[in-house]
Amino acid sequence: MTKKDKVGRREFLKDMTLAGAMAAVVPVRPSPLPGMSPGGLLQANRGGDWVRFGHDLHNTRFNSVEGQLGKSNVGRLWQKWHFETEAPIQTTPTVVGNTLFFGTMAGDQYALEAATGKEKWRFFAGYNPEPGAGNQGVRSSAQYEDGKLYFGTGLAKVHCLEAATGEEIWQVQLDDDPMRNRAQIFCSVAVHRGRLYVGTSSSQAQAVCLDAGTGRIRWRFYVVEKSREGGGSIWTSPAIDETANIVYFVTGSLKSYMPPDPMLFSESMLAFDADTGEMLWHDQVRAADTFDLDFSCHPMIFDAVHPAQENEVRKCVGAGSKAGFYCFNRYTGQRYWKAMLTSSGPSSGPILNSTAVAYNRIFVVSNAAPVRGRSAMSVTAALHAYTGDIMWWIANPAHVRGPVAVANGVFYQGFDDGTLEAIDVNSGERLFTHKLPGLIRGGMAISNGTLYTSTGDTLGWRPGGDKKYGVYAFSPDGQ
Amino acid sequence: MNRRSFLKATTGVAATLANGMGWTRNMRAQATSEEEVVEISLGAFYPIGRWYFDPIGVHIQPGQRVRWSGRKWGGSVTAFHPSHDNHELRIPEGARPFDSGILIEGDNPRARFEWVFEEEGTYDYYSRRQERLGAVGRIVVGSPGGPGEEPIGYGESAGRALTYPDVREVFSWLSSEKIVEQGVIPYPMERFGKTFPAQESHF
Repeated sequence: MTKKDKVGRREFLKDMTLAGAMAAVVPVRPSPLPGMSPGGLLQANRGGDWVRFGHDLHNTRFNSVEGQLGKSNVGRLWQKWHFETEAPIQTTPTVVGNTLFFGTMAGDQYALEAATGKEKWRFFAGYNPEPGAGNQGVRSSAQYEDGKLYFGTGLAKVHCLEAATGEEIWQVQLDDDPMRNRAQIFCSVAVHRGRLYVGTSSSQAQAVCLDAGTGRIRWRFYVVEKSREGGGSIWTSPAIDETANIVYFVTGSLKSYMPPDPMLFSESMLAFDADTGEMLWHDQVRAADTFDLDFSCHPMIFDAVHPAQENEVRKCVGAGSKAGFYCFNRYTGQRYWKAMLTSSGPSSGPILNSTAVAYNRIFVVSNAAPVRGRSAMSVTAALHAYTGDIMWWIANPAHVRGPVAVANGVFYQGFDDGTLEAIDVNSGERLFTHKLPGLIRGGMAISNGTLYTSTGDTLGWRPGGDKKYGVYAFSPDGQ
Repeated sequence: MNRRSFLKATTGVAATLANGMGWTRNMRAQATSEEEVVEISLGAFYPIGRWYFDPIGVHIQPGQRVRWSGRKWGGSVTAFHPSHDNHELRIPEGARPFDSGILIEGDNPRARFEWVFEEEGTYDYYSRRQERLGAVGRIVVGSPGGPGEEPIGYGESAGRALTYPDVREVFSWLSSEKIVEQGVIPYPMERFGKTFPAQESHF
């Protein structure tokens, strides 16, 4: 951690308290779009902050209280500041008051001033350069909760820091043998009621609940019984239904096509009692496949309203895999609908968290694998949350392999070619386009009139190159 | 470039191909000398949903060594032999059955397996956990012959394990004559590649 520009805990907390107080008096805005409910009937937002990967515990990636940046001024977005890094970024910025947190693939966790981009502190969480370490630094987006910052690392550890200073409070290693199991945490944590939920990617993946105060493991579920049969990685953040006290995880593919024992939990949606870890239901959408069709997008919790009958509501949890978006009854596991916009494949479909839910719609970016003689392309669509029907879709010029976001009637996405776009959620009309000097892999956060995003790189990145990366802040006219 | 250095160069290329595209006909090498090691890779290529050996067919001479390199977790190099999962015999009667065990898994970081083929004849082998996907290969040592030249599935009537359709498909295409004629047969991606079913249940 650098001492430079270190902010005192009291000052930081004051800042946080102010942000919290402001948030408390800001009413939840009614939907700006006639005829649509705001992002599901449940609301898990807190002020204008973007406190975690999925914005809220439901993983909507929708800031429903954002009122400053919207359709009327998104076309005037202008770069406000830029913070340069030596390493690529694959985390969604966490924005709390005037502090922005992000991690890098070199293993650093940063805190910046959200208004200026000035560094507050830096914490090195570790990096293992050894080939096969399965390590890509910090790709797990941090969650801010009650003065603490929580995140996972490519070394399969979870860290808890003092958010004001970057001082470490605890860390815990989740895998017995991270090298042998090629374990890492790409999944972003979910913290709620003093518990932290996270999944590992490994030859023996786990869904884990920790005590947020101490890091002690409260319960743990192994997706596969033995590491040698392997796989079922949890690549993305769990979602929490705080009303029913259920935590949802999705899992990836197996490493073996014909495993010697039954494998019931790979490529599955898993629902657990958040307190005890008891499995309430699970649905394995494919028993095994050789196309690597992971669930690679976060589970999202939403209440879907019938297109014609407002009182008819489905209690849903949905998630995107490389073979399409699946929507379930979140209490029974009943499958409601599935939609796939492009052909299924290892780099196809909604991938790497490129989904969001808002305004009774599921926003999905679906990649199509390159076909001989044709470059990669993708489509973005708004699906009706109740039926899965396509409401509009647009063709994209490149693949999207990062999280997307929604706020105040605008959908945001970032491409592999560095293009950042803002799109009207009603029509699919493009409202703003800007080219960044690198791949957008960490997605974006919209908070208090500002859009924060970053540039990343592919998994082949190693420390020591000349290439630069960074975090970017955009606001109307750069103000 | 003499013949030996050519062979060394081409086997190196084959071992380092990372995306499963395998050998091409320009790289092929007919290995005939005892000290020359033939390289075969074992891996998966997700876009076509296949596990495979590449090259899938190789012609060698008695006493020659073959080295398999696993590129993915969980494959094996296992001879068609009754002692292996009750498979029908598809190696010469007197030959020792070979089995690498599962390569590159948790406690076994070993990615390579080597075998010296002494007996002349036809040797068929498979990858235990991926056989259903047609992950099989054939080595012809000297002249083709022995049980490996029997029709695929001949042992089923005698109670041997049933043959997977994808295995039948591969062996109906992969003839020993073709292997002897060409020396090395790359895995034909386009022929055996599959696409994920477009009409998967939409419930």
